[in-house]
Amino acid sequence: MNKLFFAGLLLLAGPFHASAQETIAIDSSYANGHYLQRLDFFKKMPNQKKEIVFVGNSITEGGKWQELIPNKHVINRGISGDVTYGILARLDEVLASKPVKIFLLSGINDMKRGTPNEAILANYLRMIKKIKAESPATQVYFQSVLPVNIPMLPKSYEKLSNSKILALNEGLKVLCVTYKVHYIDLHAVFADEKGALKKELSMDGLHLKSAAYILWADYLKKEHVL
Amino acid sequence: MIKEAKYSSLILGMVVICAANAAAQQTVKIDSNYVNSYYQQRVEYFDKMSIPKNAIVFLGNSITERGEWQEILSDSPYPIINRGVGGDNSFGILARMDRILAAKPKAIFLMDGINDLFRKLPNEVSVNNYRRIIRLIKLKSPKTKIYIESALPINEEMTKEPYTKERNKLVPLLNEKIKAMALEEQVTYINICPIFQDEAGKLRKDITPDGVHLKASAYIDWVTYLKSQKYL
Repeated sequence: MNKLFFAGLLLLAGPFHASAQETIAIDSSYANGHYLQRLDFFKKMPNQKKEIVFVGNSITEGGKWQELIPNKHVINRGISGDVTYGILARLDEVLASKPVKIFLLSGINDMKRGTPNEAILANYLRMIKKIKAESPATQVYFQSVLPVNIPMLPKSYEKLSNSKILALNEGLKVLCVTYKVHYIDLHAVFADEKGALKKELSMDGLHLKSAAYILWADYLKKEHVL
Repeated sequence: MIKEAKYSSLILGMVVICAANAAAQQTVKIDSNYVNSYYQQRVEYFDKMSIPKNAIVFLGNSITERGEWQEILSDSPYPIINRGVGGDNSFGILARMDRILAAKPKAIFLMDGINDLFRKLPNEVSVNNYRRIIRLIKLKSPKTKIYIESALPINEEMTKEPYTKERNKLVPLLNEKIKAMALEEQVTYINICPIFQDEAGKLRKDITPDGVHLKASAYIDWVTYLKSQKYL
C-alpha cells in the first residue's frame, strides 16, 4: 500500500524517474530492536497533563530536555535511528495525552537511506494532518532538519548533503505556512556561515554535543515558543 | 579543570601497584584514564548547567545516562538530575564530583562498576575510588543522602566485545566489596541485582538490548524498587 502510494507520488515528482516505468524503492522500515523497546517504554508511561513533547530521532533522544526546560511536563519521544515512517506509526502514543505542544524534528535518517525529499515531505504532511485530526488543540512546532558537516561525517552518511537539507527545509516551511503550523528554523542556531553544522557543536558531523542543546533550548525560549 | 584532571590521571595512570597475592615481581597496571572526547563534551555541558537546589542526582556511566529518570519520576517534589556519562569509570566520576557537590544535592544515587571491570581494574582500586567519592560528599555536602547501588551483572551470551568476556563472574565479588565498604562508611547500599538478574546471576535477556545496557522500560522497574524501599 505504502509502496504504491509513493511510486505514484514519485512519478508526479518528475526528476526522480528516468522513464515512466521506473520507480524508486523506498526503505520505509522502522521497527528495529531499539524502536520497539523505546515504544514499549512510551506505552508503559502514563499520560500527563500539559505535556510538551519532543518527537524525533537520535538528535532528539540525546537531549536532556527536562533539565533544559525545568518545571514543565517535558517528555522525550526521540528514538535513535527513527525515520518519518516510524514517527508516523507511533504518533498515536504521543497524541493520546493531548499534549500542549509538540516539537518535531525528523527526516535526516530518511535522507541517509536515499528517500527522496518528496516522500519525506509527504510524511511531514501526514504528521500534520494526523495531529490536527487527533489532537486539534495541540500547538505544532516543526523544526528544520539540522545542517550536517560533511567532512566530519562517517561514510555511511554519504547520501546526505546540505543542499538537499536546505531544499527539504524549504518544502517543510511551505507546508507549515499552508497548514498554519509553526516552523522553527534551527539553522539560525547550528549552521556556520557556509551552511554546515558548526564544527564545535558536533562530534561526528550530525549529532550534537550535550552543550549544543543548551543553545537549542535557549533559542526556543528566545522565540517564545516554550 | 579538564587539563588539570588530565594531568592527574596521567600521574595515576603510571601508578603500578603490587597485587597482594602475586609474586614479588608481578605487578598490575592500573588504567585510570577517563578523559575521552565523550566525557569532555558531557562535562562541558555539566559546567554550563547549574544543578538546582534539593536535586536528586543519578550519577554513573551509560546505564545511568540512558535512563529517562525525569519522566519516570515526574511526580517527584525534587528536581531529578542525570549525571551519567557513557563509558565513565570510578576515576572519571571522582574527578567530576566538585560540580555536583557545589549544588548540595538532596540525594545522590551512584551506580557504576562495570566499566572498571571491563578494563580489569582491581576491586580494591574501584572500591577505594568509591570511598573517596563518599568521603568527598560527606566533606563538601554533609547533608546529602548517599545511596550506593550495586554494579549490574551483564550477559556475555549477548555481548561481542572481547573486553566483556569473563567479566560477569567478577560482578558479585566487586559488589561484596562495595557493600562492605558502604557498611564501613555508614551509607546506604542498594543491591539492585535481584531486579535485573536471572537465576544464573546473568543480566536478564528480556530487559537488555545488548547484554550490558538496559531497555528503557527496565528503568521503570528500577524506580519502582527504589520507591518500594523508600529510597525515593
